Amino acid sequence: MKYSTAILKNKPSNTISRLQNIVLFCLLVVSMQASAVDVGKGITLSVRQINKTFGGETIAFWVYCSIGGTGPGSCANPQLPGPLLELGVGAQANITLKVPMMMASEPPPYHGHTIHFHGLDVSQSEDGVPETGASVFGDQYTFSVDSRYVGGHKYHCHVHTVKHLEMGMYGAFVVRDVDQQGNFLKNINAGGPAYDDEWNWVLSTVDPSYHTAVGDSLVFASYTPRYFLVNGKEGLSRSSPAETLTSRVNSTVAIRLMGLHSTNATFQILNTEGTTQDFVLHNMDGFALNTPKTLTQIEVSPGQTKDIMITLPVNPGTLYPEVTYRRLRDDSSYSTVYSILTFN
Amino acid sequence: MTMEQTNLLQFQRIAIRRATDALRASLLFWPLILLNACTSPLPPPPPLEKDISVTPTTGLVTSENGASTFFTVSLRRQPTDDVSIPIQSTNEAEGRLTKETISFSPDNWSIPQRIAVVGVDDNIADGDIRYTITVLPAVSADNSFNGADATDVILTNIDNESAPQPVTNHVLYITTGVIEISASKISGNGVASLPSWGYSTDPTEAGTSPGPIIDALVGRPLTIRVVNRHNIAHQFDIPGLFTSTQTLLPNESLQVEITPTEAGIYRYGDPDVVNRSLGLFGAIVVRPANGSKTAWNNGPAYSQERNWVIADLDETWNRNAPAVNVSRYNPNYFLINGQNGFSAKEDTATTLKGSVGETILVRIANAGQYDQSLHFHASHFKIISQNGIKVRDIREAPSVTTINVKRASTAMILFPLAQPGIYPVHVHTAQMETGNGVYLNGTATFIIAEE
Ligand SMILES: [Cu+2]
Ligand SMILES: [Cu+2]
Repeated sequence: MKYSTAILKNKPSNTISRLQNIVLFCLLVVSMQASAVDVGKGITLSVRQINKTFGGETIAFWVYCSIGGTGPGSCANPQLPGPLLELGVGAQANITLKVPMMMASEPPPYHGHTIHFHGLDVSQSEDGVPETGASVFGDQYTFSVDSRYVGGHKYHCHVHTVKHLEMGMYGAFVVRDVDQQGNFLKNINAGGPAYDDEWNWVLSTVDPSYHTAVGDSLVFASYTPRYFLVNGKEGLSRSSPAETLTSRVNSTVAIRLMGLHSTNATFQILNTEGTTQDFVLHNMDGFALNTPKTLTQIEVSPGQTKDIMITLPVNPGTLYPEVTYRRLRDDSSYSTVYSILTFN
Repeated sequence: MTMEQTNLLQFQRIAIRRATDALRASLLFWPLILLNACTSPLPPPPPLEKDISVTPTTGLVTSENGASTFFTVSLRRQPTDDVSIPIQSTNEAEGRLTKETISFSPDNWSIPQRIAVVGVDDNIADGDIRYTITVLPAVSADNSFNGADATDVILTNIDNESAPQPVTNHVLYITTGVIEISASKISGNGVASLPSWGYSTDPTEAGTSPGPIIDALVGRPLTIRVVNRHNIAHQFDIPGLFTSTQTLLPNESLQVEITPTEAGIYRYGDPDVVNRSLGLFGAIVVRPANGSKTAWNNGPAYSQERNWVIADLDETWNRNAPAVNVSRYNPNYFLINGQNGFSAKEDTATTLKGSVGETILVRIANAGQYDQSLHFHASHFKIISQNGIKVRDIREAPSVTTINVKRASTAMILFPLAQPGIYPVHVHTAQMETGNGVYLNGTATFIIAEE
C-alpha cells in the first residue's frame, strides 16, 4: 500500500474543521490506489469488466487485474486503471497474461488482449503488438531494463488500440533504481535526486460511444470525450479532488504524469492564491534529461510520460496540482481535473 | 533440470502435467520431491559484466566530415583499487578514439566518463561503413573488477564522397486532384474518391497532396515559380523561409527567390486553412552545403534519412470546398506522405528500414490542423530540432519514445535502429489510429531493423 505512510503522516490541522476532516478521510479511503506489484517477483494479470458511473452515466470498462489476493487491483477487486507495476533495474520482469475467453472482449478480428510495455523498448516478441506476431490469447512477457529506464512508463493493451485503450486497459509502470541488494530506491532517475513521496498520475479520457462500438465502426472515426480522468477519477473540483496526497513541509514529491488520454493536456501546480509554482522536469518517457528543467506548466500529449519533482514550502499549507485536458485543434480547454497536495 | 554458470540467476519453469486416474476423490495432495543437486566443480564466478555500464552500444554515427559522437562508461559500484579499461577501434581508417584507456579510481568511480569517437575522412566513395569500438577486459587489483568485459560499441562512419546536387529551379502548378480512398494509398470506410487540390510539376498532370518534396542546399539560391491553374485565388508561403501577401488569381504566378541559411525541413503551401486542408501543402528539405549526411553543418550525423509530411483530412471539407464551415472540423483521415497505415507500412520512403546500428534522421512536417503525438516502439530516439530551433549540444536533446508534432509545426529526430525486428510507429490518439474508423490506418508506419 504505497501511500499509507503518506496518509499516516496526516495530522489534523487547526484550520480544518472536524467535519472537513471526516470528509477528507472518506475521500482518502475512496482514492486509495491499488498496491504496487513488483513484476521482478513474477505476476499473473487478467482482464475483467467493471462498470463505472460518470455524470449519471454507467459505462463499461475492461481493466487489468492481478490474480491472487483481494486488495484493490486484484481480480477480486478490479480497478481503473490497472495495478501499478514496478520493476527494479537489472531484474527480470516475468508477467503472465491470462485472457478470459468469454468476457470483456471484442468479436474477431479484434478478439483477445495483449500487454504493450510502453516506453520500455522491449524486443518484438515481448512487444504485445498482434500485427507483428503477439498472441492475443494470453502470453508470458519477460524482459529487463538498464538504469537509463529508471522513471515512469506505462502498459496497455495493443489489440485494436483505438477501442481497448479507451476501454481502460492501461496502468502505470515504474522502473525503480536499486541498491546492490536489488532493494528499490526512491530516486527520480539513476543517479538522480531522491524523493520523499511519490504520486503516479494516469491521465485518460472517456468517449462513452467507444465503449459500446466494436470492430471497424464509423464511431471510431471521431472522438468526442465527455469524461476526463486522473487515476480513473474525475476530480471536478477542489472539494471533490481526483487525488489527495498528504506530505510534510520541505519534503520532495515526485509526480509521474502518464499520458493514456486521447487529447492534449497540460499540468501545473497552483498555490492557494492561484499562483503557478515552479517544479522541475527530470524525465521524459522515462529517460533522464541531461539538464533538468524548471517550469511552471508542462504539456503531456497522448503516449508521453513526464516525471517532475516539487520541493514543498517550509511552512504547512496546501498546493493544487491539476491537469487541464485540451483540444487537439487549438489547445482550448475541455475540462480540468483537480487534486490536493497538503503538507504539515 | 540443469543449471549452468551462465543461467544461475534465471528462474526455470518446471511443467507439471495433470494425470488422469480412476479415483473419484476430488482433491489429492501429492509431494513433489526435489532430489539433491549434483554439481560439477566450478571456478569462482567471473566479475559481472553489468558492473561496467556502456551506453549506448548501438546507433552511434560518425562521419567523414569529422563529426564525432560519444558513449558513456560508468561503474555501478565502488572499486577497492584503480580500474583501467582498454578500448580500441576495429577500423582506425573510419573512426578513431581520443584515448586508449579509461581509468576509474576509488575516488572518481561514480562519475561517468564520456568517450569521444571521431569520424575519419578519405577520398573514396566507399559508402557508410560499420565499425566497432572494442571494450577490452578491465585491469584492476580489485579482483571483483579484474577481467570484467563490458559490451562493445557498434558505430557507423558516414561517407561524404557522393553528394547529389539538387535542381535549383522549380515550377509548382496549383491544380485540382483526387484523393483515392482505396487499398493502394489510403484505406478506410467511406467514399471511393474525394476531390482535392494539389501541386504538380507538370501543368498537364493532376496535383498531388502533399506536393513534391523540394531539395535545397544551405547557401545555394533556390527559385520556385508558383502558377495558379486553379479556378479560385490562392496564396503561397514557406514559414521560416518566405512570406508573401500576394494573391494569385487564376492563371497568375509568383516567383519565390530564396537562399536558405539553415538546414532542416520547411512547410510550403497555401496559408489559408481551408486551402491547405484541401491539399495545398508540401515540404522543402534543406541540407548542409557540403553534402554531408549531417542534420546541419557540423550537426549530428546519420546514415539514412526520411521525410514525413503528415496531415489530417475531413472528407466533408473535400466534398463541399470551398464552402466549408471553418469552425466545424472533424478530420477522419490521418496521413503520412499522402498515405495511411497499411499503405505507409509498405512505402520504403516512409518506413524506418535498415540494419541494426544505423541512425535514421527523420524530418517531420505537420501540415494538418490537429496535433499528432507520434509514438515509436523499439527504441528511444533524440529530438534534435523543433520548429527550426535546433538543439546545438546533442547531449541536451531529450531521449523519448513519443513526440507531439503540433499542428503547422516541424521537427527533426534521430532514430537509432537499436534492435532487430518489426515494430510500429503510430499516433497515440484514439481516432487518429484509424482511417475513417478502420483500425491501424491512421498516421502509422513500421520500423524494420535487420541484423
Ligand atoms: Cu485488449
Ligand atoms: Cu502506447
